[in-house]
Amino acid sequence: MSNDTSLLQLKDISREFPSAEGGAPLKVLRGLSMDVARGESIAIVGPSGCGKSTLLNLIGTLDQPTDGAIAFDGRNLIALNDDELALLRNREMGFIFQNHHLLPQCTVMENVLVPTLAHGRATADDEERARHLLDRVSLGERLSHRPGQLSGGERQRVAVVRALINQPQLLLADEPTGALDQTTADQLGQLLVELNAEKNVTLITVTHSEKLAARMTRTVELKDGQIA
Amino acid sequence: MTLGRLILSSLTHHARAHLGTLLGAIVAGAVLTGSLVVGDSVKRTLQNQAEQRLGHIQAALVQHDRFFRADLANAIALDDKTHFAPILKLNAAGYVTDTKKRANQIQLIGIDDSFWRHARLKSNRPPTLKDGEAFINRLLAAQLGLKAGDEFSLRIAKPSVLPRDAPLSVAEDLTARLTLTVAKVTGADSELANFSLRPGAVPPFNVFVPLAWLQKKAELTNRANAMLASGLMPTKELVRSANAKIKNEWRLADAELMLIENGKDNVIDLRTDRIFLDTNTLKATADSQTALTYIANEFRIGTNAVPYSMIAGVSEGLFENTPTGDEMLITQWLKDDLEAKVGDKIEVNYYVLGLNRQLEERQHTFTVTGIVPTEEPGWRELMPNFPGIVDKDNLRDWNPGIDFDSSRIRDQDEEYWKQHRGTPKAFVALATGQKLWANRYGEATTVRYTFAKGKRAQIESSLKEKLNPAQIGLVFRDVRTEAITGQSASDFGGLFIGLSFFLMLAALILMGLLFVFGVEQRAPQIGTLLAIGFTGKTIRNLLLAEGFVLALLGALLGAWAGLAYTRSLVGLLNSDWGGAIGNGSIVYHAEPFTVLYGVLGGLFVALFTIWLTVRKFSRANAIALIQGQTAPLAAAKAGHKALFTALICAVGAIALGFAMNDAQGQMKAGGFFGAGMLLLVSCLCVCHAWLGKLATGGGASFASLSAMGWRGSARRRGRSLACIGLLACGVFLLIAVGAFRLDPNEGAGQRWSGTGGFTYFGQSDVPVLFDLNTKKGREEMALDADAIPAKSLVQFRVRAGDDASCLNLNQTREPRLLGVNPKSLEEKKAFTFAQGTGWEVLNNSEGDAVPAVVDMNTGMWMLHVKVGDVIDYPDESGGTFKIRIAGFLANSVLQGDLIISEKQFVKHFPSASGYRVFLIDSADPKATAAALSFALEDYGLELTPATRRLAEFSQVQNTYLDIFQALGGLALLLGSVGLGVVVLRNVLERRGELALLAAVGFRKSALHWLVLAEHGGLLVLGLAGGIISAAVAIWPALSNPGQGMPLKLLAWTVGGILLSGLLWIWLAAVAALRGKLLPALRNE
Repeated sequence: MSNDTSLLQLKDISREFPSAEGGAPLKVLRGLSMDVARGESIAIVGPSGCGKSTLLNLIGTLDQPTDGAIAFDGRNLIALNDDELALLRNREMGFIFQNHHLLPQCTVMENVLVPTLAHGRATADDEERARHLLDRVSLGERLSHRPGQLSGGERQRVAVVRALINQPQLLLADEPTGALDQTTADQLGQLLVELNAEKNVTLITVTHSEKLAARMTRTVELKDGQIA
Repeated sequence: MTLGRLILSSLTHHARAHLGTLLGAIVAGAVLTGSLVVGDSVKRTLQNQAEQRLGHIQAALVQHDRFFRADLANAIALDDKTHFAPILKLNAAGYVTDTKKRANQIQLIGIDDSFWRHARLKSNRPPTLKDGEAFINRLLAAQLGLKAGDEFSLRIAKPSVLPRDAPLSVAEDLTARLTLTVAKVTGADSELANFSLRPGAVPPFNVFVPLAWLQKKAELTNRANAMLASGLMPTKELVRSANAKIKNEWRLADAELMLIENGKDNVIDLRTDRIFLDTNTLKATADSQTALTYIANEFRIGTNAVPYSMIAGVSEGLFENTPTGDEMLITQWLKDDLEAKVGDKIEVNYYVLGLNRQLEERQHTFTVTGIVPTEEPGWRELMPNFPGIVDKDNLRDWNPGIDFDSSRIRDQDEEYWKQHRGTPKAFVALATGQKLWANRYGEATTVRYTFAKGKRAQIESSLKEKLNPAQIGLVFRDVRTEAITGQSASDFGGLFIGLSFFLMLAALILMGLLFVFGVEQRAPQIGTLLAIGFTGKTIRNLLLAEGFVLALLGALLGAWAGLAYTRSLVGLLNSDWGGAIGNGSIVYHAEPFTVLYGVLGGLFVALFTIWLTVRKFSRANAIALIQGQTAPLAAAKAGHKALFTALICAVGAIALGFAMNDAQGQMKAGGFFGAGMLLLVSCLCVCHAWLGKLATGGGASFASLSAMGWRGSARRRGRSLACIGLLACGVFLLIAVGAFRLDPNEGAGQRWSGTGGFTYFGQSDVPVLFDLNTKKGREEMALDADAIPAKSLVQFRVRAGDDASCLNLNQTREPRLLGVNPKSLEEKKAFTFAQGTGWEVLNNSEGDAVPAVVDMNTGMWMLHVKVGDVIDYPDESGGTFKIRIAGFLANSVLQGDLIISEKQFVKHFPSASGYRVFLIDSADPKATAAALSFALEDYGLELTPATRRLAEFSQVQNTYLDIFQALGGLALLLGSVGLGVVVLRNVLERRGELALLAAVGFRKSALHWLVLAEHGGLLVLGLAGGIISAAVAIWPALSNPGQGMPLKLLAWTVGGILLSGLLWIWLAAVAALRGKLLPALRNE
């Protein structure tokens, strides 16, 4: 199923949600298939309700498909249990959301290191890497600041660094610039592209922003739960 | 960065949000620790009381209505470090002539110097007492208004070796007056002023006088009726050693037995001052000649009659042709006087004594089978020392304990008395004599041995070997070990946890709500943590760790606050809530381990509550959390499960109700309480399912603003259910428990009531020997017959014991025993039986167990028995007999006593004479009280209106209900706060949604109404569930005397909660909706 260049393979993915009224289930994704190569950057676009975020959640193992198969780095994700999936998310994937969801009680440095605690503890290497990454996103001087003391763009950059701290193979971003002004959104889009190249990390982002989509190497458009 | 640091920073960052959680944990911890420390305080109080009443005393020997040689204390000396002190303890009533102050139920204690070895004296010199002087304790000094140097009087029941109820005993000169001067008012801590061998609610009134002086006044030279023991050896060993020593050192005199050597007549007689030799003694002398001598009122053949003569039943050996059956040997004197001959029938008239000294003259006919000499050596000694006879020079001067007509005495009778004294004039078979004259005191008057040198010592040795001194009460028992543990009748720690349970529950629910609200605010962050690879378990554990710190802090601060809570409770128990602990008072005391248990308990309950609230996070959905959703939509399946559970519980409640309909007493009450609880669970399950249906879009439509509000209440089903549950439980418990409130005045004049319909409850210090319902009895006691109509009294015999009423905090093993004629109460249909069919159960002996009736409160809470249980009770002969609990009285004035039939009572306590407890009917209470008080002044009669006595007992239960309701009220207040918090939280969460409604034209008042409808519905559901369930639970209680539907309480409780709840909802709605709503819409 896998080859050297392919990181992620989705085959005939469907996702249905039961109707609250007990009627016919709501089909959000309908037999979707796609391959994602290592180092690729992909923008998933489409109208609201077409299943973009659902697809991203399935790729990020936050949700399970009703049907179909997902392989990540040669591993069948459907066969993994919750703990294995959590470990996978922690070590090999990074998430960026529309809202940063930083921990308000932690400093910038601490927020970045939080993922290292999920299955162990932060090492000196982790701290060094965090420092380096924060320098890279121009937050080297704000290590001990708390999220409340940062601007929206700065918070989102911290969230990006947090997603990269465990050196994932795949970076998933759900409307990462949705809550930012145009200028800040442009800067963040540029940063994501640069990091994609620098760190050789595969990037999949769901976005309504054509500008951001244009920065990606490929754009996948969804329509009625299928690739248009 | 570490997990610890993450937890710490979360705690500090969310400190304000956690404050409510912490406060909840503190309240729960404080209530728990405080309640446990109340247990410590009661324990320490009882220990203090035990120390005060016992001093160093470890063991005691106590005889009931018997007396041993005071010298026995010296004879059983073990070593220099072990001390024995004989005491003579008598009941007395005290009064001061000048001030007319009186005190009943005084312990008059004759002591010698050895007594002070058992006290914790501060000085090396024991206090000295002179004849005519007394030490009194502070309690008595206060009651009689006495100080050192004052004079006062005591009226004592004059002790008699021959029981007052025994046939031929003299019912005169029953009391004696002693005039004493107070030498000192002694202290309880050092001078054993509150000495008592029985645990009581309050110390007794004590008067200490010189032993020898009291012995002289009571005509009991060198006699004592109790002995105290203390020393350095462990109590168990002391008891064992002392009893072993008694077995060697006791003498016949200690059993009131005497061997009289009569070398002249060649006999040695075993006799007793108690006149009649009891069965145990006769068993030990089985192979000897035995005689039972009695007074014949008359021997008659036709017109010839001889008055007032002795007649003896004799065993084989005294005569060659010992009579058998109805045969009789008569003396030459009687033959001559009656002009009788062999073969003649002689009618013998004699008295037997009924239960209350009622004399009944009976007759038996004997056939003369032989003539014997008028007197042979040793015959005149067959007459025992009948009081009023033995010391009289003339027959006409006799003053026996029977009706005596001196006019019937002829000259020849007088001459016979002078020459032959009490020599029997006729002899019959011992078996026949015993059949006619034996009684509960004994079956013989003399056991005769043939005289020989050294024989006396041989007989004594043989008797000592065969008789067990324990059978006559010469046995030491451990009085310290149990007393000093401070064991109370009830577990007060547990009791107060129970009383405070609802308060604790409310605090925990509130704490849980606040904690989970705090956590829910962080839902997106938690979702992000899940997304970046934290497992659900790790998240839950992180939250639990935060909760642990809060719970630990809450438990520690709660324990500290709990000590203040205990101090408040102890303060209230010693004042406003004093009714709960009877007449006593308790001291504050906290054991470190108890506080530790409180901390651990507080930690556990708080942590458990937090675990309940955060456990769902181990299954949390990251996507939903990131989107700010903390509760998934209710699944229809859960609703079905809830409805199924509701159905099962409802069916269970109905089945239990039917099953318990015919049950009795506690079982019925418990059963219905259980049915009510099941119904409550059923109501909550229905609410759960209904809210679930609303949440999934079913049920109410949006036809009105209220319906829209209803739908809103389903959004957070857990919160809504917590509110409904808290309110329903609160209402249920307050109403259900309130129904057990007792009104002592309800039906007070009715027979079914707790007073039994009686006007007075009377207790005397000196036993009344007569039946005051009879003309003779009233005449004997100089009682005004008009004031006391026939059958207006029910009299009880009394065997002293522990006060087992709920006024006494101490654990009691040996309650006071009352003996009553069941017919006297059955005829009046007095009292209501909570369990059992009526007073006739006292006549229904099953096997060898004596049936007894006891007040239900005494049985359940003090003796911890149920109907059908069998307990051992010490009898007079030093052994024990079995008492079977045959019935429970519903809340009554007879609380604290075990009641058996008089017939059984006298069988097991033959020496306990007369009656000391009375239930009195009266149409004119003032006249009755005046007449009885006048007639029984010397008897130390204390009359208490039955309603007042019942009120004192009811006060205990009612005060506990007050405590429960006060604490329950606090809990409901917390519950209302909880409701307010939920409303505030719900409204704040939906500010944007409400802003939208405002934007589309809803007025603020309409929004207030929406919030009120939503949460008012929860309030009404909670109240309705609680009321319906409580109504089922209290159903059987409503039929008990003194209890009824607490409509007033119901109205106040429900009304109060409804108003307070609506107020909180309104305030919360106003607070949440104040200001401009539209910005909230923009934020959305």
